[in-house]
Amino acid sequence: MDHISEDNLLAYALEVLDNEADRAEIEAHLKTCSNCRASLAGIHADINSISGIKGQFDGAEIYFPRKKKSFGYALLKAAALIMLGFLGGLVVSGNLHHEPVSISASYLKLSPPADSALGFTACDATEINSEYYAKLIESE
Amino acid sequence: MDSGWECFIRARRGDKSAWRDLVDCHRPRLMSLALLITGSAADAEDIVQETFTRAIIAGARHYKSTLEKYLGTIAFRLSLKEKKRSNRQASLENFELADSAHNSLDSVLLSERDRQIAAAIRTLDKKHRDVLVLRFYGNCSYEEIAELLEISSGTVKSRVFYAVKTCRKILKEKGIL
Repeated sequence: MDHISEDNLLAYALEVLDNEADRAEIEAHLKTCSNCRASLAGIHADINSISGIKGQFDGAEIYFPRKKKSFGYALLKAAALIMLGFLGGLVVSGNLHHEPVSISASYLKLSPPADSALGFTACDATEINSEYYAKLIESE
Repeated sequence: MDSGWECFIRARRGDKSAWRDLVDCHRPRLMSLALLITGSAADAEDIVQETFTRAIIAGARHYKSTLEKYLGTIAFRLSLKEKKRSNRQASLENFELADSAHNSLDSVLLSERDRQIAAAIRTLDKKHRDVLVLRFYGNCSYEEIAELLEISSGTVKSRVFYAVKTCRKILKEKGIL
């Protein structure tokens, strides 16, 4: 009885055979042929070696990453702080003792400067005192 | 959800014990994957750290797949990117990469057998090496590799077959297998 070729056994071991009939034929043969079963076991061992190299590392720790805060989170935090400040202000102002505020009217009396040559002050830029006007005319 | 994802979610919530389990379980495989693609131990270490970082930040959005495949895919993409960057830099600096890659493998693969196997895998051309690495070190199915590399599933199977056959031939000639 012919044995299964090494290529077919490799394809079977790698599960790359698309044809169901080919796979069934190999499986049927393997049930009766210890030689091919041994070859298949060798191929599996080779595949395990090729797929099993282990990279060593120098023991450096893999650090847990710091999660980045999202923009929404930052916005929410800012809004919460503002609200907290506002509420804090309300609480503090509610506890303060309010003194009644009285405003007394006070008047500022303006007097003409002592060194004023004419002894008049303009109280309104649009209005010229008639006496002052007469003196101006005289001086010219 | 499988136990891998459960461990991942606990680690993500800050469970230090789950984080250690996660790293211990996946680090060696991811390290080998990155090493086989980049050929540099230092780059492989960085890629493994970056893989965990990205996975934790992104969260578990791929429950349908396995955690092994999820992490493997991230590590594979990062490795390709790093390989591309280092090749560009090497060509700019006119620097002999082959020797440095070989020395780097020596420092990380302590067993001579592993070194020879890694060297055999790295002799494959890129298209065969990538499918082999994704299949064996990324724990991806043929269909997942096909989707990732945007090639047909038949092509993936054919390349994996050729890659393994070539590696076996090289290693048998050296008396490793």
